[in-house]
Amino acid sequence: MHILIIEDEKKTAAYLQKGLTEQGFTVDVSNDGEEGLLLASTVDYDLIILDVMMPLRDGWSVLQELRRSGKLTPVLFLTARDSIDDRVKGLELGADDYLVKPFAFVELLARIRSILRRGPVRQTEQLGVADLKLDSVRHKAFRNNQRLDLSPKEFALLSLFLQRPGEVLSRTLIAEQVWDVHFDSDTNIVDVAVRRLRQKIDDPFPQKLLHTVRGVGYVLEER
Amino acid sequence: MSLKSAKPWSITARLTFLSILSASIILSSIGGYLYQSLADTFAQDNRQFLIKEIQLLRSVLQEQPVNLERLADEQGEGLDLSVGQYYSRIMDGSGDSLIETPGMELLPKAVLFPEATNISAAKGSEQKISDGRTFILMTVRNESRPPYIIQIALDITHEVTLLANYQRNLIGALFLGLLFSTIAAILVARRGLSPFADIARHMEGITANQLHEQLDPADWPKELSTVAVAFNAMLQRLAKSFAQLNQFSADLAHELRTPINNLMGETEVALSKSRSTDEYCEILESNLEEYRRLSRIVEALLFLARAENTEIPLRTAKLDGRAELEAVCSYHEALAEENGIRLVCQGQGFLNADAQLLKRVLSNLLLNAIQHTAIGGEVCLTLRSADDGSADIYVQDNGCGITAEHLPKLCDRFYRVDPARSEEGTGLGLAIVKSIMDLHGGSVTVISEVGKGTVVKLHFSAQ
Repeated sequence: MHILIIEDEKKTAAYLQKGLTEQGFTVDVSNDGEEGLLLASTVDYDLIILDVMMPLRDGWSVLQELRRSGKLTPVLFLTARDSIDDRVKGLELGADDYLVKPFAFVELLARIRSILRRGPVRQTEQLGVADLKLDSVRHKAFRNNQRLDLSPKEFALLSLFLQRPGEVLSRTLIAEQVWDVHFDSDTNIVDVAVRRLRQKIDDPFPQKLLHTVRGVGYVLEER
Repeated sequence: MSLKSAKPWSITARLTFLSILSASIILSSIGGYLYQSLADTFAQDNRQFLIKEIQLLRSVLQEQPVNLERLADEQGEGLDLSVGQYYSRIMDGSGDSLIETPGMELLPKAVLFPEATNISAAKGSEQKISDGRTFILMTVRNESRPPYIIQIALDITHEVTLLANYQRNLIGALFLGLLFSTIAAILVARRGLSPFADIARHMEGITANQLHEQLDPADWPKELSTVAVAFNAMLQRLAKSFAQLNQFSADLAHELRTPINNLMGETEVALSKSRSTDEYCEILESNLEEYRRLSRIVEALLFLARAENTEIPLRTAKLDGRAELEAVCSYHEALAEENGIRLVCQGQGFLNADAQLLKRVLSNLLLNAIQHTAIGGEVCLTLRSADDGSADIYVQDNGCGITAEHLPKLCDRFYRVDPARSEEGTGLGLAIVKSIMDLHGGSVTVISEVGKGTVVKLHFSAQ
């Protein structure tokens, strides 16, 4: 997967490049809008990560020019401006997503994956990792063929992890997906909820599946 | 519109204009009255004189036979009268002239004179003839046997000239009077308005750091003392806002100082010698927590600033209140259970609110309640909706409670009941609650009793 980052703030561009390269993406970086536009229109990228405020040419104008020339490469906006008008403008111009600084890196990763996946997340009746199985129709979960006693929210949390196995989920994303809470709360509510889920699905069994990614979030995978 | 947008007249100009207007009305009415009364006196004197003369001539004509010599004498007497020369002509019933005074030939019988009338209805007619003299002419028919017609003319050239001069003088005096009254009006207006300039000078002298300087209302005339009082009140409000702003900046700096200090210190210590990967990870993780805290403070401040400028779009909808309460409870359930606290939802009904913002309000309040309630406690969310569409939500805990002195400041930014507990949260939770309730046109009320617990009442209006 080939990604272009157009971002004038060098530190941001550098850590994004590093992080995304480590996640297996091929990453090009451009530090201004003019050069970025040139690269974007000559090379076939899978995704462009675009900063809004840049010298020479701002992100909106890059996107506008790109779409005018017929390039339909998906674009994800990064910006420190987050008024509703800005958001609407970006999406109207044909951006695929919009992320406000400061953001968590896993958040960016999740958005990138969802744009590249270009489809709904796994929604099968039978979800599972290793010997952990989930029957979403009958609302039942099993580990090693033992029925797990989960509350409705714990069940929703587990479904979220099973729909995205191996993907690090940030606390923000979990709060949004499970509780529909779209603001950064001052608490460790998500940590508590995950800990309680873990007590039920992992603690009684030798093989641990739900892992903490320090400071970032949680991932469900077989290690 | 154009009238409104035009710059209003200066008060000096208004006062001057009004003074000139009233002076000119008064002066011209007086002048007009004086002129008219003089002219009327002249006209009345002249008419009386003419009637008297006609009566005299009539009495001579009534003597039988008519003594033409006496008549001529009578007519001749008019020549050296001080009133002005007068002339007369006596005609028979058919209009043929019987006798006339010399000079009467300049005044033809029919052309200038009015129609003959009875003496009681006789009217004078003013005429100017070719040599420049002005006369009052009168024609009277004498119904005797045989009938006579008397025409009489009085030279009033002198009077007309007199009146004209008088008029000229009056107009001159009027203009002179207006000139003086204009000057006087400008001087009076300037003088009268000088306290305004003084008070403006006083106001100009007040800068941001002397907001405590007040104007003493006793120093100013009655009309301006109200201005001074209003100005003082404004100064006080400004001073209060300034103090709040300063306090806010200081608090903000203080809030930022702690996480920045942690970040700097931890990083410096970490770099002072080489460490194991685990140690580095731990430090980075700890740093990340501080960054998140900074990021939350920034987000919360931005939210408050936007809410204050009402830049946050309110997506109000009719919500099932109970469902919203339960959704928020389910989010906090795990945390409450960890702390050994029971969450209870009560009541039914609808309320008009923005679902996400309502969630944020309830979430902040629940968090506070959970944090300040001991193990085994209970936090109760109660919804009461009224028939008019308004609704109240009560968030009640049986925790430690808050002393009364803190209650009024509870919703201030960065205000903490216990400054030592500054690690928890951003200190902006209740400020956000209040700003969201303000956006909804609702209100927040906190009732608390130490040792018994706290109730926060949220009122949502009907809209």
